[in-house]
Amino acid sequence: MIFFENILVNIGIMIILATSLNLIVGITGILSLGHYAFFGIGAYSSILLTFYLHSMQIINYIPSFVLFFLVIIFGGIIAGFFSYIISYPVLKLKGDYLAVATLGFNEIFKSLMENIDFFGGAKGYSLYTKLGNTEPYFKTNLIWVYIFVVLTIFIIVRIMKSNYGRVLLAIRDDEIASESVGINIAKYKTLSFVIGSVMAGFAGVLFVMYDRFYATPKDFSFLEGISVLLMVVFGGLGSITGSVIGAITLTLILQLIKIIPFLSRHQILFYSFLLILMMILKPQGLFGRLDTTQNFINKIFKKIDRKEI
Amino acid sequence: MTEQLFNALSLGFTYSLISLGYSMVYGIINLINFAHGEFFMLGAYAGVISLIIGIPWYISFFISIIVGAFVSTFVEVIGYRPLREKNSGRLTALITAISFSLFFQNFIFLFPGADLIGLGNRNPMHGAVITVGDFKIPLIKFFIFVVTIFLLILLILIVYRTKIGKAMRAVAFSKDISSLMGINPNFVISFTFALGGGLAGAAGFLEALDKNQVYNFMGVIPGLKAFIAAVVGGIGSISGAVAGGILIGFLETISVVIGLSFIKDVISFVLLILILILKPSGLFLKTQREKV
Repeated sequence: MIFFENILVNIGIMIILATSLNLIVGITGILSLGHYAFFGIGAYSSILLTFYLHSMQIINYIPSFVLFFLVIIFGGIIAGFFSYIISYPVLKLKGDYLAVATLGFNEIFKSLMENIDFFGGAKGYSLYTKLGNTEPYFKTNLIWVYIFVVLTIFIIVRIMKSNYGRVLLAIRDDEIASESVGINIAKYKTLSFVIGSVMAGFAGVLFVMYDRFYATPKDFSFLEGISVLLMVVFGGLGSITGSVIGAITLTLILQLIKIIPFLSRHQILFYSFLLILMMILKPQGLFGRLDTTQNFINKIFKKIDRKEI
Repeated sequence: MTEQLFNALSLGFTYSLISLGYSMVYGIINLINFAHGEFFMLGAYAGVISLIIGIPWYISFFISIIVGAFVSTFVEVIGYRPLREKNSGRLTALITAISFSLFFQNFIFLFPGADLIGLGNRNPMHGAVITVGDFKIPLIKFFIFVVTIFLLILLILIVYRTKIGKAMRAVAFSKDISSLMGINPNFVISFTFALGGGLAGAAGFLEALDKNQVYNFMGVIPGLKAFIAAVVGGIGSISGAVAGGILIGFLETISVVIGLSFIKDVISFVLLILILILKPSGLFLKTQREKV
């Protein structure tokens, strides 16, 4: 039972990561390769905050779900804060240069975490050992993860339907043309980048507070993050349904290849091979830009809107 | 001091050799070939394995170059050409490049024990030193210096003095018009990949002799830095790539000498962002033309 719960939680976290990356890469057209750094920032900040909450003994006075909200919002805010700072130099770049700069940001994050003792160095930061082998008072569970999954999908779909989402699509399709129509490209790109990164920060908190309670720099390297990019590309850039289905299938495939010894040793080889095949045979992904999730949610809203009128 | 100077120069020249491939490929099809660092790695592996088998070093050197060129052309024909013909956009090409890079890095793991191969005393230049007056320079640093200059002259001759070089420059200018003039753009692009891959393979061989070992992730960081070198020097220009490589080599050596070795890998990314904001066309590119 616990095995299935783990898989379901994994799938949920991957859905959050994939849809938020889709908002940045597929919908706005910013090719960010540093998404996993924000995932890591969320994880690290939640672990640090939890440790300080414990050591200050505040925990005895406040109910645990309030603390959980506090931690997850803190993780999101810190990730958003850093993404805002990063976006200033990085979003001035275009296309391939931007990709390399965000990749560089991810590497910088990893090497800072490895070299600063406050964050535990290369060994990582473990709550268990810091708290003297006692379990933290609160942890994530399946329900919390899926509440955030629904929230993420809902927010992104509503964004796409809004005025703001149409601006993002216009920027993706032609930057110069949308600039000439009077759209402030920098503002919209930054907004989309920050929203996506905040969601990645939430995912990081959910990931690390489920049953791990430790974070190592290696967990958040660019190489680990390539799997999320694969999910987005597999499902189709710009399609939320695609991202969700990509996250589900690839996480299941990953669980499956963990059982087979040969494939589990060569996970990344398998991944990259799949990605190359996918790109050559069907570059637009499984769903292309088709979006049933969006249509479904918007249909519900249309009914509600009509009733109000 | 002189030793550090030679360290910086040999490091810079290694970066230059890799960044030339980036620069030429970007100049001709506007694609950052992320897999380029892997041609460097595979070239190094080929050279080291042939040295261990017992093949003399000058033949191993050619084997490195040929393997680099071959793998590079292979990736172009298998991966990038179909995407170009489908006209599927930069994003897909870039993701393909990254996945090729990951594929080659992890391909090595299929062979147990191959992820780190030491050369040991098979290295023809291990420990050899040249003494000039009071200075002692390791032979390999001197060798890197000489070989790189030789390869650079060869490259400049190919690009500016041969028919295929002229075709390369024409395709870089406009693919459609050059195909109207009877040039086969696909062949020219493949040739460019082969040239860049060969240079990367040569750089890999030199690096393997210098460090006396090869490992499967050795292409990642040099590859990224060489790309930065190409951007810093002005992408598409040969002298720019060389100058950018040497600049990064010097910056890194200086950061190690003054005791800040942990910023060694970070400094080039900072340089990249600074250059892209302040002078996007690169430091050494004179004319600025935007391709639309």
